[in-house]
Order: sequence, then C-alpha cells, then structure tokens
Amino acid sequence: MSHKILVVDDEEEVRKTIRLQLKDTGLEVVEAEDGKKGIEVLDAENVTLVDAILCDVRMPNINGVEAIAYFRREYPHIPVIVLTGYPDVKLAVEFMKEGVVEYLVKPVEKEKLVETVMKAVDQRTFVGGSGPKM
Amino acid sequence: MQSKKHRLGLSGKLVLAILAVGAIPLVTSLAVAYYRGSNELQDVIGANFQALAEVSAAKVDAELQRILTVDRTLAQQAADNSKIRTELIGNQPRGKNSSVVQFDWPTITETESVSGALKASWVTGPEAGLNGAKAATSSTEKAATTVTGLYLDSATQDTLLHIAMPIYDRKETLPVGWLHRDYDVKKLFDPLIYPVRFGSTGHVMLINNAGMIISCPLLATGSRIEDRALLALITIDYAGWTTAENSGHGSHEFSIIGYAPLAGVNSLLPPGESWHMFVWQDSREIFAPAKSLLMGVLLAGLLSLGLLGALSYYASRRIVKPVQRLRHEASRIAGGDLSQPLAVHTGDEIEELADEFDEMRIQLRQHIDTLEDKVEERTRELRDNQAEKDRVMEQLIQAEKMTVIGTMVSGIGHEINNPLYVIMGKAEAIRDEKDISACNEHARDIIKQGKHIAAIIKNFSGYIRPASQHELEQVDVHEKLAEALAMVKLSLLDDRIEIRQNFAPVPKIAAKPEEIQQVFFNVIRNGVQAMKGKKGILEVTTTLEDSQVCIRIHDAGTGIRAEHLGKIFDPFFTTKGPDEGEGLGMYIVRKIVNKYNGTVALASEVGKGTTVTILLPGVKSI
Repeated sequence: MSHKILVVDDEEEVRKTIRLQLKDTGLEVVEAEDGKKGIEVLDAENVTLVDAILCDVRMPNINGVEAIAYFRREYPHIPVIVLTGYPDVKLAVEFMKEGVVEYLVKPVEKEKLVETVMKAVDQRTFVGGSGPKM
Repeated sequence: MQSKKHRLGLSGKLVLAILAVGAIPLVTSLAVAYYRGSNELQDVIGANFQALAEVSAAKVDAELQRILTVDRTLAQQAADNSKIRTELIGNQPRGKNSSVVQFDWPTITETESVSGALKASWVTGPEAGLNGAKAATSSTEKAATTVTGLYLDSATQDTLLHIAMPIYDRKETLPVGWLHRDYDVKKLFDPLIYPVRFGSTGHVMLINNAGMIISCPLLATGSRIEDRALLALITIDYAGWTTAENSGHGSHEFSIIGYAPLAGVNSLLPPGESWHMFVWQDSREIFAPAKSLLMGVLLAGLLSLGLLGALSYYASRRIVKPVQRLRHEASRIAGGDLSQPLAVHTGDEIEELADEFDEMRIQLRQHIDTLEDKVEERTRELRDNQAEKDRVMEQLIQAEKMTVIGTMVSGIGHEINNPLYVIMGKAEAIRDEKDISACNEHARDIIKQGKHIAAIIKNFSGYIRPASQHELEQVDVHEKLAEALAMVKLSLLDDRIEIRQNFAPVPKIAAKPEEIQQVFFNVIRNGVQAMKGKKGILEVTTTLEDSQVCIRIHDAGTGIRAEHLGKIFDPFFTTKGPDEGEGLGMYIVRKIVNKYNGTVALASEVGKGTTVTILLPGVKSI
C-alpha cells in the first residue's frame, strides 16, 4: 500500500506541478483547492491513509495559516510541509513553532521537494509508531 | 483715456468772463443814463412848458385887454354921439325887459381889427346880451365891463365870447346903455395860439375849467377834455407842470403838460369859470433825442462788446491752445507713451508747467523701467518657484510610491513565485522526460506561465514608473481601477476581503494614466488596510454625475475618528503602523485630483467604514 499525501493549493497549475515532481516517488496525491476543502478532505479520509500534508499559505476561504493550525490541532501526527511563494521569516518562525516540518519557498526544485516529502512521510511513520504495512 | 464732455471749454469761459466785464458797466451806465436822463429831461421840459404856458396866457390876457380897450373907446364914442345917446335915452325900458337898439355904427377904425358883431342896447344890466347870453353880474350900481362867457351861436355853430361894455352919459354915473359885442373865439384867439408851435407836435391850447377847447391847433373849438382827473391837475390858479398818463388829446400815453391860468381873463369871468393855458408835446417826440442818444450809446456799447468778444476770443485761444496742447501731451503720456518729450514752447507759465510735466514723465519712465525689471525678476522667481514646487511634488509622489513598493515586493514575490515554480517543475519534467511528445505539453505550460509573469511585471512597473512628461491622455477609469485593484492584491496578502465592482458607463478623463492609477491604488489600499484583515466587502462604484465621472470607494473598515477627519489630506498625517505608509497617500490623492479640476470628499463613521468620493470631469459623452 502506497503512501498518500494531501496537497492544498488554490492554483491548479501549482498542484499539477507538485504532482509532476512527486510522480517518481510512487506517492498517491490527493488535491484540495483551499484550506476549507483541505480540512473536509482530511476529515473525510481515513486519517491513517494520509501520511503528509503539503499546504500553501495564501488561499481564499480558509487560508493556510488557519488550515495548518487546524491540522496541527486535530491531526498532530501528520507532518505538515508549508509550500509558499511568500518568503516571510516571521511567518516561517510561527509555522515552525506550530510544528511544521519544513517551510519551502516556491519555486522549489524537484529533488528538494521529493527529499522533504519523503522525509516527512518517514517521520509520519516514525511519529505514528506504526509504519506502513509492506 | 476717455475725455469728459465739457459744456463750456476754457476758451468759452474766458470769453464769457471778459464779455461780462464789458457788458455789466455798459448795461449799468445805460440804465443810469436812461433813468437820470428821462427824469432830468422831464424837469427841464416841464419848466419850459410851464414858462410857455405862462407867456401864452399873458399874451391872451393882453389881447383881451386890447379888445376891451377898443370896446371902451366904442362905448365912449357912443356916449359922445348925440344921436345914439338920444336913441338910447328915448328907448328907456318900462318894465323889466330891456330893449335892444340896433345901430349902424359909424366907422370906427378900431372895430375893423376885431371880428364880431357890435350891438348897442339899452338894458338895465349887462345880462341881456345878444342871443340870450347872460352876464354873470346884475349889479347896476357899479357897472363894469363884463365878459359874460362863451356860448354857441346856433346859427353859425361858432363859439362866441360875449362882452358887455357900459355906456355912460358924461353927466351920469349910471350907464345909459350897454354895448354888446360877440367875438368869434377862433378868430379872436387862433392867431395867438396857432403860431406857438414847437417840434412837430408841440403846441399850446386854450381851455376853460369845464374842459372845453377854446383854441387849439389840433382839436376843434368846442370839443372837450373828458378826463376830470387831468382837468383837476391843470385847471388851478397858479402855473406849473405835471406828468400824466393822458395827453388830453385822446391818447393815454405818458405826457408832460405845462399849464397856466389866464389871470386877467379870469378876473372878468363870472365866478366859477376860468380859462387856462395848456402846453403839450408828444412824449415820443420829447424823448426822441434822448432815445436816439441812448440807442447810439447802446450801439456803440454793443459794437465795443463785439470787439471785446473777438479780442478776448483771440486772447483766450492764445492761452487755451497751449493748455490744450499740454492736455494732449498729458493724455499721450497717460496712454503709456513715455518715450517722447513734451513739445510745448510758449515762453510762458504754460511752458514751465510743460517742463514740470516732462520732468514727471522722465521720472515715471524710470520708475516703470525699474518696475518692469522687478516684475520680470519676480515672474522669473515665481516661475522658478513653481518649477521647484512641481519638481518637489513629483519627487514626493515618487517617494510615496517607493515606500509602497517595499510592502508590495513580497506580494509580487508570491505572485511571481507561483508561475515560476510551475515553470521550474515543467522544465525538470522535460529534463527527465524521454517521450518528446510529453515535452511539448510541458513547454506550452512554461510559455503560458512566462506570459503570466510578464503581465504581473508590466502591471507593477506601470506603477513604479514616474509619471510621463508628455501630454495628457484620455484615461479609461475602469482600466485604471482594475490595475489598482490588481496591485492591491499584489501588495496586501489578504484573501478575506471581497472586492465588489459596480461600474456604470462613464466617459474617459484627460489625465496622466500613472497618476490616476496611483490615486485609485492609494485609496483602495487605505480601505483594505482599514479593514485590518477582517472579512468584509470593499466596494468600488462608478457613476456619471452631471458630466463628471464619480468614483466611490467604500470600505467596511474601522472608520476615521472625527478629530482625524480634517487632517486626512495633510501631508505626513497617518494613523497606520511604520510599515504601512508615510502619511502621503491622501495628500497626493488630493493634489492629483485637484490638478485635473476634480474634487475628493471623505465620509466616515467609526466602526462602519469610510467612503471616498472622487469627481473628475469627463472629456466627452460615452
């Protein structure tokens, strides 16, 4: 059973690019176009099936800051990676305090993204105490 | 300069003044001469007329005495004539009726000289004259010569004077008879009265106190003077002269009348009757010489006045001409021609005045020259100042943009980083892709994202570029609003604010597009900042109001406190944090809007939001 990652970003092109960069990892990508949708998806899915969350900051409806706060509160075992076009040191520090595993700034290279995501997925396994069943 | 209309010029006034100086003594002397002349003339003429009346009266008196002497002689001859005496005595009356004895008188030399019938009668008194004429006295004791008065002979229509002379016997003291004679007064007195003529109308006239004309060269004997008042003036018992408004000759004109009583005759006349001499001359004739003299003087005076007028006109022209010339020159100077000197050369005070004027002209020109220099200098200064102000303003606008840019950069980063990320991802895919057909799709996506980035940069650089120097353009307000909204989206990371646009068709405005974009950006940015990241609606509305384009931007922000409302447009006034602006936004908004003859107004309520209304004149109808 492959690992699953939730991608929350309002721009379809960005989501497609993320999917493209993660194609070789064999991860299953679930998309959500804003924070609200992301929360709905996560609440609906079997939480154990989502191994990591890749989340944008600037989005309509519920933005990244609110959504991530929710994710960290409700699903603390799922690692969250921030992927934003808005390089803000203060915001980055805030996210780190929340327990975000990485703060990535667009444009991010394929290798860096794959590495960060795979690390997070591993971390999920580690944090969750129950690794994916091989 | 417009010259005033003078009713009378300087020349006219001078001539009038001089004529008045000449005319006043002339008129005065004429009036005095006329008054005194006529009064003194009256005195002289009156005295002359009186003297003439007296002389004429004496002459008639003397004539009457002569007639009486003749009659006395005749009466004596009758008394001495025995035949007559016998006849008289023999015919003594027996009753009261007297009898009349007609005689053929012996030739008496003296009778020839008088006209009138000579009759002798025996009567008890002188009253029984011929034709019933009555004597005034009936005394027989002291019989004396009696003039019984005038009567009209009905047969001949002549006026007769009856004289009764007593005939005395030499021994008797009582008259034995009376000698009666009737004289035709015309024949008797006309020869005395008529020759006394002077001038063409001057004459003497014999009248009695009843106004009857006895002898007059102009009036018929027996006619009457009816004016009782005039008669009362002249039929008095002494000589004199008077003036009256009646000539006594049928006309009511001013007259000088001399008069004198006939003293000798009047002593013989019955009581109550008197004769008077009347001297009169037509006043026109009397005063003709005086009038002629006055006319002569008047004519000479008028002639002198005419001469005086001509001379004074000439003299006044001599005075006024230079004055007019001076006035002409002065108005030339008043008209601004200060280059030519005043050309007035009269060699008198006028020239001195002109010289003073010229001095003033020179000073005026110097002042004006200095003034022109000063004005030029000041204009240059002002121009420089304006240029400096414009430059400072432009710098200010640009500086304000730069502070905004700081906050915009991160937003722009986000906007650009998204497409950049897509580009990078696609490029990596191409790098790793073995299938060329799949690469084409990636490349198309890369191009699309590249265009997106270019659009973002274009929008942004449009804002940061300084306003163009060239002419104004026709600016589409909606286009600039859209650009400003996009910029706000770039610079302010807030997704909770919903932007609503209500655009009505409006005309374009004439302006520099960068400046209009900045106006909209500043206002919208303020609105978004006022909403402080809360959810809410920012509404942008355009309408057409009386050919003005109205742009209304309403935010649902915190609103502005009343004490801050008046300061919103002041430079460097801000309630924002240090990163959000320098306090120049609304100051610049108003500067730019006012520059395009527009207005900006602000309405705000704390807790509810703020509405900014911008009105800009549209260039033409849509």
